[in-house]
Amino acid sequence: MSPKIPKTLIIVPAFQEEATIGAVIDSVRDGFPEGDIVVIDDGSSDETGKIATSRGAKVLTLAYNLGIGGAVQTGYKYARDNGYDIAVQVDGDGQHPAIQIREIVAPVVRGEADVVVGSRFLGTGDYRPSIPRGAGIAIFSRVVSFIIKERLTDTTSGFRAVGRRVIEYYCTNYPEDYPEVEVLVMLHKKGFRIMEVPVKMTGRKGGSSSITPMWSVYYMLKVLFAIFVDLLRRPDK
Amino acid sequence: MNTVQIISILASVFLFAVVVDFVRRNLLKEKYSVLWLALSVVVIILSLWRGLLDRIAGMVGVSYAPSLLFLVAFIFVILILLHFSVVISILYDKNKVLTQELSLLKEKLARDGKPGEVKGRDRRTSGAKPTGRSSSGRVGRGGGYRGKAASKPDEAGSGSSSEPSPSAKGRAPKSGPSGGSARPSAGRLNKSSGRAAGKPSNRSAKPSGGSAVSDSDKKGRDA
Repeated sequence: MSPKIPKTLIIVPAFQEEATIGAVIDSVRDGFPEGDIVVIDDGSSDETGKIATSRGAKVLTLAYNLGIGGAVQTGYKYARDNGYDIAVQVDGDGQHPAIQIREIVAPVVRGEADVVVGSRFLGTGDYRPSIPRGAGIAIFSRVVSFIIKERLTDTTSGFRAVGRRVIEYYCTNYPEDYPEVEVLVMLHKKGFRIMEVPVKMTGRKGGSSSITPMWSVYYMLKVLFAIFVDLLRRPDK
Repeated sequence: MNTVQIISILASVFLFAVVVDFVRRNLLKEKYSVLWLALSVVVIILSLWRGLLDRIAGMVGVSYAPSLLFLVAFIFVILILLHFSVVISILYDKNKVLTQELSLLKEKLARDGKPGEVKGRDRRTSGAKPTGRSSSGRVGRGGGYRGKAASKPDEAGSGSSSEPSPSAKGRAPKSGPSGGSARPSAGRLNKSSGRAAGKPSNRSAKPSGGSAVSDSDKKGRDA
């Protein structure tokens, strides 16, 4: 495959996103027409899968709700099995600006990075999280930046582009729940190059976040513990 | 021998027996029974051999020796629970991989357009079954009572006479001109009428004959 025209897959994990999934698919197609779209219907009981199919996206239907990690990993397995060079992750809730897919893909295409994360806090974004959420995001960014000795501003962002080697790595190593933060530490340990690119995100257009206040404390502790355990793991496993 | 000793012996022997029985009945895998068996064996030994229990209790500073039994059992239970947590995690991982593979396969199947083909073939084979099949095969297929009851006459006169066939044939077409629509009526004949059950004796009396009756019977049952 020529590096000039890399085969790109847009992975859209979606759980109960019938309100937004159609618009997300359309905007991805407008913003990045050369990419193929695969929607991972993570055991939704609503019309998510039907709508995605009717909009012409490929749909992988999971028999039950695996959670974000397992769903996204299914997309990476699809990318691996079907020979994609680049995979982009875009949330099914419409928060991620499809128009900027090109910008997060570009460094991977140029070979400057193995993983590109779209950051809400670099540059001109006007995303203002709630105070507790903002605090959580800041703590994660500090912790991860400290561990990988590189400044990252938005470690919880799920808007990412990865190259072929990371696709293959993800197929065997991807955390189950709340994977975004933890996986950065794993990638760094593996020696992959991580880069952030400023993006503008909007609030979600429908549905509800998987991280409710009740779960946020659990979320924080779980992720920090997972990072800690990752550091204890042998580098070659 | 004091009461607590007797209780712990009885309880652990009972546990041992239950675990062995579960393994015997395939309710419990051998590899998950090991810790349970070890627990019961250790408790049996310690309750029977009071001297050993006392000595260990003295060593670890437990003043009332039988309470050491409960400590030992408790440690085993903790180990078993931890073991199960590990097993569950492994199962979870396997389950996840299976689910992912399943979704990938489903998508591939849908893309290749295979599911329709498979269904079509399925229908054809089930449609073909009634024509040339032995009665034993049909008993398995036919639903419950009807299939079983109706199959007996066939076995009795597997080379049945042609005599009853005209009546069956004669009745069948009334419900409709085509062979396909004849099936339900033949089925009704078999199921409800005493005459249908009585026929086999006549049939078996006459050795030779076509397979027309048994065929229509088969159709009726399968329809």
